[in-house]
Amino acid sequence: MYLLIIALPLVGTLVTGLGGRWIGRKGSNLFSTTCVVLCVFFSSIAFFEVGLCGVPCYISLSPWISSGALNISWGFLFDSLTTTMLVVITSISSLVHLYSIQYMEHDPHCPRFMSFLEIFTFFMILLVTADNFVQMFLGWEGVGLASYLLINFWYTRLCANQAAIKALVVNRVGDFGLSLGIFTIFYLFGSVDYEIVFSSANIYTNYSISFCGFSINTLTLIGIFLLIGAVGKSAQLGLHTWLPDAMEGPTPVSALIHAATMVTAGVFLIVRCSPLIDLSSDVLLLITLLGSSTAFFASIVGVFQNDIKRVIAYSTCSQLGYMVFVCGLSYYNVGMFHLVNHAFFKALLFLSAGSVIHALSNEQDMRRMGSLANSLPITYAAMLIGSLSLAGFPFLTGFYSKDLIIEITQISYYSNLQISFGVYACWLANISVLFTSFYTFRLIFLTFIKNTNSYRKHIENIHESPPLILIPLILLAISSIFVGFLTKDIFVGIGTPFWGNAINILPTSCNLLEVEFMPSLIKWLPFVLSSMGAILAYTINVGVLKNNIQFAHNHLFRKLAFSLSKKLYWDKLYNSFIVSPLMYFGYNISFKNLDRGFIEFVGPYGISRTIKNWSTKVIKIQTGQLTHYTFFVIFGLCSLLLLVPVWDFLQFLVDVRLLVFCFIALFVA
Amino acid sequence: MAGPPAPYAPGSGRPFGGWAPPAVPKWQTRTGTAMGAVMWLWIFYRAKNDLPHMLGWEKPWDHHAGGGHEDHH
Repeated sequence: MYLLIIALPLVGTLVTGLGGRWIGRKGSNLFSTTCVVLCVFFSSIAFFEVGLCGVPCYISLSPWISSGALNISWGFLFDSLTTTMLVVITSISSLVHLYSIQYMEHDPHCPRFMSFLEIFTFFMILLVTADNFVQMFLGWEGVGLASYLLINFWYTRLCANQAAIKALVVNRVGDFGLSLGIFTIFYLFGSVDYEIVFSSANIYTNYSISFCGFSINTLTLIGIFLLIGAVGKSAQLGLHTWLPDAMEGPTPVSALIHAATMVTAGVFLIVRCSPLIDLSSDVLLLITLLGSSTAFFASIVGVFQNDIKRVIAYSTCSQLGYMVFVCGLSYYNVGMFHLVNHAFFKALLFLSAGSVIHALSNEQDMRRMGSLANSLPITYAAMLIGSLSLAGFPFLTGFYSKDLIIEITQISYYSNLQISFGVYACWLANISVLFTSFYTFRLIFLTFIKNTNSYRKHIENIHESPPLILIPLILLAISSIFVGFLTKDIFVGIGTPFWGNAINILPTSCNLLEVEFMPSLIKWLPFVLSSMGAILAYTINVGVLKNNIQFAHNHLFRKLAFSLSKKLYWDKLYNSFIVSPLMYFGYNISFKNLDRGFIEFVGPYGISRTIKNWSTKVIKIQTGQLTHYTFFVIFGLCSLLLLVPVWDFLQFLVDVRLLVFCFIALFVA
Repeated sequence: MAGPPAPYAPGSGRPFGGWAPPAVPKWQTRTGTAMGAVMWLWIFYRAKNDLPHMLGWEKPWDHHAGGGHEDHH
C-alpha cells in the first residue's frame, strides 16, 4: 500500500503522457484522476496508521549508488511528517485534477496537462517520502522541472516562456545551495541517510571547518546551505521574484504548485532537518530574520497589486514567511500546522480566482471587475471563506495556526534567541497581519462588492462555473472552515505525541505553554489589526473615501505607491546588476571573443584556414619548369645532408616514425 | 409627461437601456447562501464554546479540574 502511493502517480503520468493520443481526453482525465484519488485513500490510511497510531514505516527497496564510501539505497520513510505532507499533497492534487477536467476542457493538449500534473505529484511524493538527502534532492529537482513544464504549458506565449525560465533559473540558485549542503553533510557524517545524520548530529556541535578562509561551525554551515535551498523553493526574500511571475501558468497549476505543495517544500526541508538546524542558534536567527522580513515585504507589496492572481501569490509568499520564521523560533510543529491549513485555504483562493477568471472571459485585473457576488454566488461564498480564513478570522482554519504563530512571537522569552530578534519578528508579523487583511478584503470588495467596472460583453456572458469546478471549491471551503479546529490538538496540542521523532526540538525551546499565560489584550491584537485592515479596505474601496483621491496626490504617497507597485524594484535590481552583466559577459566575452574568437582561431577553423593559406602558396611553386624542379631536388638533398650531423640531437626531439609516416603520406597524396 | 429615461445611476439596480444582467439559477444562490451560513454558524458555535478562553476568563485545562474527574478518586 505504501509503495502504491508512490507508484500510482508514476503510472498515471506514463499512461496519460505516452498514451494520451490513444486513450483520448476523457480517458486521460479519468485515468489520472482515479490514480490520484486512490492515492488520497491510501495516504489517509497511512496517516491513520503512522500518524495517529504511531507506527512509522521504513521501506528499503534496493541499492542505488555504491561508490567508495558513498552508499545510497532506494528507501522510503513514512513517519508522521511524511504522512501529513502526503495527505496534503494528494488531496489538493486530486481536487486540482478534478477542477482541471472542466477548466482545461477546451485545450487541445489536455492529456499532456494531466500528465504534467501527475509527474509533479509523483516527484512531490518522492521528495517527502525519501529516507536520504540524495533521493530527496531527486524529488526536489523533479518538482522544479515539473513546475517549469506547467508554467510553460501554453508555450506559445512569450510571457509564459519568460516566467518558466525565470522560475527554473532562480530555483537553480537555491538548488545549488542545497547540493552544497548535501556535500557538506556527506563530508561531515560520511552518509546521506537521515537516520545516520540526525542521530549523530549532536556529536558535531563543536566541530568547525575552514570555509573561504574562515573557521565556521560545520552545523551552521550546513544549516546555511539548507536554508539557501529553502529560500529558493519557498520564495523567501531575495529569491522570491519567480513566484509572482509564475502566475502566467494555468490557474490549477498556481493552486497546486505555487500555493499548496511545491512552495512548501522549503518549509518541509527545514522541518525535516530540525535535528540539524535546531543545534545552531545562528541559523535559527537567520531563518527568523529572513522569514519575518519576507512576511512583511510580501504583504506590503500585495497591497498595491491589481492582478487577482498576483495578489494571492504575494499572499502565499507572505504566509510562507510566517511558516519559515516560526521554524526559526524552533516551533516546527506550528510551522507544519500552518502549512497544512494554508494549503487548503490558499488552494481555495486560487481555484476561486480561476472561477472568476473563467466567468469573466480571462480578465484578471481586479479594477475591471465588480458586483460579482450576485452573478457568482458559490464562487463568492468560497472566496469569502478562503479570505476570512487567510485573514485569521476567529474559529476558521487559518485562525488557529496564524494566531498561534503571532502569539509565539509575543512570548517575551526565547531560550535560544536573543530577545531583540523575537521582537523583530513580532513587529513585522503584526504589521503583516494588518496588510494581509487589507489586501484580502480589497480583493473581495473590488471583485465582488464594488459597482461593476467590467466590459458589457463580459457581463452579458457571465455565468457560474460548471459543477466539476464548483465541487472542489465546496470541498476546499469545508476544509477551510473545519480543518484547523479538528487538527489543532493533534499537531500543536501541548504534549501531543503525534510528531514522535519526526521533529526534534531542544527541551529548552519548548515554551508553548507560555502562550496560555499571555495577557488577553495582547492575544487579541491580531484580531484588532485584522479588523482595522478590513475597515480600511472598505473605507477606501467602497466606503466614504472611494471617490476621494486627495491622498493619492500626495507626493510621498505617490512615490511609495509606485515603488510598491513595482515590487520595490527587486526585478530591476536583479536585471541591472546581475542579469545584464552576465548577459554582456556571456555574449561579448564568452561567446564572441572566446568561443567564436580564440578557441576557433586555434581550433579546427584556425587549422583549416592556415592549411588553406599555405596550400595556396605551395601551389604557386608548381610552375611546370624543369629548372625549378631541379632546384628543389638539389635543395632538398643538400638540406638532408646538412641534417645528418645534427641528427643525434634531433632524434630526441622528432620521432623518426612520424617523419617516415609523413614521407609516405606525401607520396600517397 | 413622457420624457427621456433617467440617466443610469451606478448601484441603483435599475436596468440600463432595457438590459438586465443574466439570471442566476436558484440552486446556485441557495448553495452560496448555505456555504456562508455554515461558516457563520460554525463561528458562532465555536465562539459560544471558546470565547471565555479567548477573553482570558478561563484556561483550556480549567474544565478538566474539579468538575467530575477528581470526584471519582
